[in-house]
Amino acid sequence: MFDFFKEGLIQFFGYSGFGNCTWGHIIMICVGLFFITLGVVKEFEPMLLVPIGFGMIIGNIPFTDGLQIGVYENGAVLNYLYFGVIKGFYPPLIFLGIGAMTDFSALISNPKLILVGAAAQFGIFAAYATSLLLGFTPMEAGAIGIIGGADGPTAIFLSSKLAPSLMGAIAVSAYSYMALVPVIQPPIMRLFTNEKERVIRMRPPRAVTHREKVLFPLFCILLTAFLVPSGIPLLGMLFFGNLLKECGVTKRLANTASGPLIDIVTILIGLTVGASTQATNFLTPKSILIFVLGAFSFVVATATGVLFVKFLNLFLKEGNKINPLIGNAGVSAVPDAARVSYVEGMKYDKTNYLLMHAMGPNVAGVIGSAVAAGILLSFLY
Amino acid sequence: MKSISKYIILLALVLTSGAVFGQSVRDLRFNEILIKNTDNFDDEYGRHVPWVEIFNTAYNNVNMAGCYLTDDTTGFAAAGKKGGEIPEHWYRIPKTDVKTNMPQRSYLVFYLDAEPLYGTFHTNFDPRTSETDYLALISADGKDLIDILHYPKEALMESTVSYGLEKDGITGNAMFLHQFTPGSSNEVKATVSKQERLKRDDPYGIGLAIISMSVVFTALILIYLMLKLFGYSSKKIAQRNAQKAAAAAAIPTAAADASKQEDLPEQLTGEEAAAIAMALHLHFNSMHDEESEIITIDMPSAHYSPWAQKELIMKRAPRIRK
Repeated sequence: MFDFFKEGLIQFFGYSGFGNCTWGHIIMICVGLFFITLGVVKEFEPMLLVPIGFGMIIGNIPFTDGLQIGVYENGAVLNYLYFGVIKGFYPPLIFLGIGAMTDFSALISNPKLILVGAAAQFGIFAAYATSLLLGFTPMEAGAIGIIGGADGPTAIFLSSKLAPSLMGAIAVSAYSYMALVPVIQPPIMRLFTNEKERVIRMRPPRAVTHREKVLFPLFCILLTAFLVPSGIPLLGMLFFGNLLKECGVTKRLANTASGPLIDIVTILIGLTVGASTQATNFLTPKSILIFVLGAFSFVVATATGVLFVKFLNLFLKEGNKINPLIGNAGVSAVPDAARVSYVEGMKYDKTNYLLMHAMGPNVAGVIGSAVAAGILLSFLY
Repeated sequence: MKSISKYIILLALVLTSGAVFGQSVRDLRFNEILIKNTDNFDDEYGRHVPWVEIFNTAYNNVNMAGCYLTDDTTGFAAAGKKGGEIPEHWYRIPKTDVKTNMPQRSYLVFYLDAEPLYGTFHTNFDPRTSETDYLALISADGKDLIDILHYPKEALMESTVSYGLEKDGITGNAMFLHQFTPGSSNEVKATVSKQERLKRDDPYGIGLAIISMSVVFTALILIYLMLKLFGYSSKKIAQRNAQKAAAAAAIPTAAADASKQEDLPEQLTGEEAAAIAMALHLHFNSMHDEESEIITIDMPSAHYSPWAQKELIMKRAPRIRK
């Protein structure tokens, strides 16, 4: 009788998390807790870091294989939810929501700001070239490079196609740096600007008509999708969402896309991407390299955005000049990068409101990173 | 507005003309032919018959439905003229089969067995019984000779060997091929994956970076130009509306002018406007049971602008402890 209980307990212990636990699991659970802490206490991108952090915890609770529990096990509930990440259909749905909540009027009123969004994409290709030097394959390098676009859904979309094995590390890296935008960008912005440049006042933009707002997504999808058809899943949904918002007759659809739908998909994508970071797959030297390269691409993207504004200013007349502090917003972390511009600008001139000016390059960054992803896909996939 | 319309039409024409030329059947080439087929590629009925492979050299889909395949171009000159009839011995590729829409850089095999009733890809002629030593691909209107392949007929009739282009789609280098590759590239030995080619040709990623950044800039510059056009047309429309309004304002009668002057004070202060707005709000929302006689207007201490107001609707910035 005693032996029966003893054996049962040993068997139960073998099935429990304690019996299968490794240092890797503990480290990853700690990382998950750290993410949740960052989200809750520091309020760094809580909508993303809390689901990802919790996903990391549930993805790293050790279990015995074959019970259809884990995210990588066929038939498991988490595996079904993860399907949207593997097949890349969550990111376009998120883009639909982003389109439905984004106001492009800052960009429409001052079109030259869109070029800043293009320049900031250089971070992607700098990281791509560096990844190649470090021994990654071209497909892996492309997936790593997109972290510099500062766009989580785009990073997931591209890595699911080009390097599925690195997707967890890339997604976590992208979202982590997006959350850390207020920490990473200001020192670089200050490094490349002087006191005089930081207080440049930009001309108030003109009023944008309803007709322009409606035509914008239609023309943009035609121009960009014809040029880079591989970007259609992201660009198509982005501009479709924006059309729903701006046309004025599909308010319910726009509300759904920018509210419940994007919330549901954010929950699913955050949780499953977090759960995909199982210690056995995630804790590798490659993941550490990816984090380093991700930081590098963010730094380069920010620097090129700021420097490009300074370059543009060489050709602009006094009164039309752009404040280089909005150059960082060329990355597509919306609206955090724009807010960083605003906060930095306020430090040097309490009456210089850069927020809506920075929204121009910021939304251009969304378009630019989606176009860049499409190009990488067409070259590498 | 007329000039803007011109630009829009011009832009549309440039874009669509690119698309039209891009998707032309002129990009199709004969790539490989086998006549003596004893134990090689078989058709869907299991028969070993002569075949020819066509290659789409374009980087976009090309639909070859309606085009003609033939081993005898007799009547080509007449067919090309206005009202000319298409010769009956030309094999017309049916329009009803979706498989005739060739994806970019793809291959399509036709069986040269003189059995057109066997399916879309079975021609009405057989090179083994024909007197000519060439195959021709002719456009749907019978006017253009898209491609012609002359082959060494005697050699191909006697030995089981295929004849085709050394490099896919590049004419002028036809030769006997070492391997049969129906439906795939003739460049068997040189075939490398995209990744390998990129590693070999662009080991540091500089080429890809330059091309990609150029495309990103091109895409966004196109949007920039479009937005400039938007701005220009909006300005014009606003000017036109202002002119209309000015013209309408020039007509009013003296009576209307007088009533206007009586009704409206010369200029409202901000406080007065706020008080009126609040009174109207209370009135229309039935919230005026007990009206206070004092309105306190809280003036913002900081400089205020519509741009600053946007900040209020955004989520709180993260707190960074220094």
